[in-house]
Amino acid sequence: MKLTIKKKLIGAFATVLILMSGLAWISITRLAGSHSDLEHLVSVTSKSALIAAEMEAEFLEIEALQAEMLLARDAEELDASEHHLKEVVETLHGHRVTLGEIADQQVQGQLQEFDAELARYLALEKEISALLHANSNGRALEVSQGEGHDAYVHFQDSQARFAGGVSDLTGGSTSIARMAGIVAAAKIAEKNALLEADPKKRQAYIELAETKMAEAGSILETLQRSYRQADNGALSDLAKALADVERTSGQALALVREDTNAEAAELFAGPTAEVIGAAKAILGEIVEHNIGAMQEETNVSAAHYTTARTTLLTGAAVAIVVGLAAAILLSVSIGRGLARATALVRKVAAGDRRIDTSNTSKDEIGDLMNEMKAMNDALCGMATVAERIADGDLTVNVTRRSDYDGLGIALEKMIEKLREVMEGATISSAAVADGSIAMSATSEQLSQGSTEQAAAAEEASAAMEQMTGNIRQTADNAAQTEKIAVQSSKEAAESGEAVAEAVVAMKTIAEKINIIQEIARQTDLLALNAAVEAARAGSHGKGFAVVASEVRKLAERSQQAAAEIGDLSGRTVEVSERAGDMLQALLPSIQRTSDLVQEISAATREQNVGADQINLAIRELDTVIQQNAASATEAASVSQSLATQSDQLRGLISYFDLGTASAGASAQRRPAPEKAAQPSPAAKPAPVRVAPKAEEGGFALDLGPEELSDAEFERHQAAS
Amino acid sequence: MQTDDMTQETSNTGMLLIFRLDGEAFAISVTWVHEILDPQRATPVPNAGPFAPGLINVRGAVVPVIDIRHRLGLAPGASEDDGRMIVFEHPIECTPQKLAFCADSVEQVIEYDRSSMEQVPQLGAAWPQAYLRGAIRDNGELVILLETETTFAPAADRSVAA
Repeated sequence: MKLTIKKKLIGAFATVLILMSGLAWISITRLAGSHSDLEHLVSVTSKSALIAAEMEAEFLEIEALQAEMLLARDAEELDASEHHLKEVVETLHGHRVTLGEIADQQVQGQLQEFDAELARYLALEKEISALLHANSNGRALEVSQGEGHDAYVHFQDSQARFAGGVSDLTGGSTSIARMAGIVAAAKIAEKNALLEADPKKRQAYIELAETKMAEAGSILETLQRSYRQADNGALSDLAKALADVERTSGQALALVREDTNAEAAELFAGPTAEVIGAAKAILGEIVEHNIGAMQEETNVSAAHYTTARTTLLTGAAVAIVVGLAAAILLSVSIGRGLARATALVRKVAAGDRRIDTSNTSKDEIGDLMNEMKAMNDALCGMATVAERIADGDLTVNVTRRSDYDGLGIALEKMIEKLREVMEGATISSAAVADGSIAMSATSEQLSQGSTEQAAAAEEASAAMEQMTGNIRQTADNAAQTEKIAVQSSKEAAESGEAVAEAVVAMKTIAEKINIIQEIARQTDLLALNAAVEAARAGSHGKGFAVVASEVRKLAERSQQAAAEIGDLSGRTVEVSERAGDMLQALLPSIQRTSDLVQEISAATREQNVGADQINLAIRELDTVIQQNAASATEAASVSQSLATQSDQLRGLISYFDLGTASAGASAQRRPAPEKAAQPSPAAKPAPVRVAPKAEEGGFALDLGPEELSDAEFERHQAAS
Repeated sequence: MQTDDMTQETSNTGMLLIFRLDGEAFAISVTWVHEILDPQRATPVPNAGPFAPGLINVRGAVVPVIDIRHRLGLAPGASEDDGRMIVFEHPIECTPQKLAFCADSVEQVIEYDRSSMEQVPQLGAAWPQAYLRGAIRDNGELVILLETETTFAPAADRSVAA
């Protein structure tokens, strides 16, 4: 079996990968172990220790609350503390249940012990609570201060009244005073008993109070006996008051003797403290146990870590060594083989076909060497073919190595095309030779034609000059006419205005005539009045009457004349208005004429410019014709040289061996072009220079009649 | 002047002022004519009779305008613009009083011979006989001479109107 590079690579990588996956598996397993350890540590051991510690704290609080209950001054405070205590006990129960759920075997045992202690405590607590609620001291104080006080006050009143009543009796007043002192002492002893905490001293105070009361009773009896005969309401009242005092004091003292508070305190200080201590001790053990467990777990986890680290480091070292060894071996063998192949390819690329392809290895590098040898052999074959083509042998045959052999196909095509091209070139060169002769003749004709063209162009130019002159004159005339038309248009407008003014003036005259008529009328009136005055003057007024009549006649005449003038001026106004209207009607016509003349003038100017352009075009045409003539001459000489060149070409083509006889047939036509080409170059240049000075402003045209006759021209159809 | 008048009155000739109404020539004695005016617009007098329908102002004097056409039984004049207004003095109840009336035109002042005055024939005349003094000829035309006493007497008109 061949050990190829591919297989080597696969082997090396597989080894390294297997090692890596082994290491990964180990790490994952170890990590999972330590994860579960940690979880246990956090969720069980640590939590248990925490809850146990909390429960311990709660017991401390219970203790404090118990003490608070003991110190409560009234029922309200007591109830508040008890309520709070019950809440704490609830919480404690809750914690106990949680701990029971997560705790291990040993702790479960301890918890059962704890439960027993807790039950005992609860029983004790109930007892203490009952005792505290009894509250004998408080009630005793209440009795002593309420009823007792009232009774005592009543007693003092009764005693004073009685004392007032028996003041005359010396023995009686002394006994009363003594009894009052004894009762006061009994009251003081009672108060002391109420306030005393120590049970022994309290007992002493109680006995003292009872003794004093008994003493007071005996004094009363003495008094009753002494005053039996003189018994009045005061003494019986006093006896009743004393009995009240005694009764209330007895009640208070009985309550004091009961002393439930002290009992409760005792109960709290004794068994309760013991039970609480036991419970706390159990909880402390639980905490201790859990802390020990945590320490143990930490140690186990550390041991696991050490083992895992060692294993992983070893595995990694092995993997690195194997990977490095494989990498070095492979890179050395591949690098060496590729370097040799590169050197060979470089030589082939430079065209050197003498290469050493001896094979040493059996892997891919060895295959590459073999293939390169085959390639080099094929290239040598192609090179041989190319050398033969270079020697002119087109009969050689090329076989392509495959359908994708670009070089082979190209060589095949090259030989084929070369054959075609050479055959074609042979035929074409003969055709070129014939063509050049024909062209030579044509260029001669062309040259002659150009000369005639030049002559015709000159004639056209002269005719154009004359025409331009005419057009220019027309343009001048048109411009003058335009000026005159504009002038007359303006004058017509002015006349229109003048007539309008005349009309206005006439109208004014007609108005003024009215004034004259009015004056004549007034004069007539004056003359009449004068005549009347003259008549009234009688014969003295005769002369004046004559004057008046003359004046009147004059007035009449002037009135008549004014009327005639008014008539005439009215008619004149009419006529002038008519004249004005006619002038107004005439104005647009004159204006239109003026405009038309202006257009004519403009058109003529444009014509003038157009004629100039035509002239210029003709001059350019002449230049072109001259160039044409020169070009024709040149073409003739070129066709001559073309014939020569085609001969040379044929000689060159004969180098190639086409393996046919076609080259010989065309060779016989070679001499023909030389004869035909001969006359053209010498004959042409002369006619071209017929009018060399034509460019400067017009041509010296020969308008000889022999060249043109009117019959040759066509009559131009006059455009409407 | 007064004496002159008197002498003239006594003589055989007199001066007449000739005016026209509807083309007919009428005349009154110049003696009492005060002046001739351009026609003026008369201020109408409330409740005035047709004889003197309005008043005009002549150089500061208030003068009644007499409708002579009405008195002579003529149709009312179409337009008075180109006519003349004659102012004269007429004694009413022996007090000279200025009066004015409208004429179509005033022609001239002529001298006439009292003897040549003819009587206006009773028949054929279009005007009330009471207002006519006579007729004279002037250049072949018949000129009616009005009797100023009656023509301008208001009482007569009143009696007629009544």
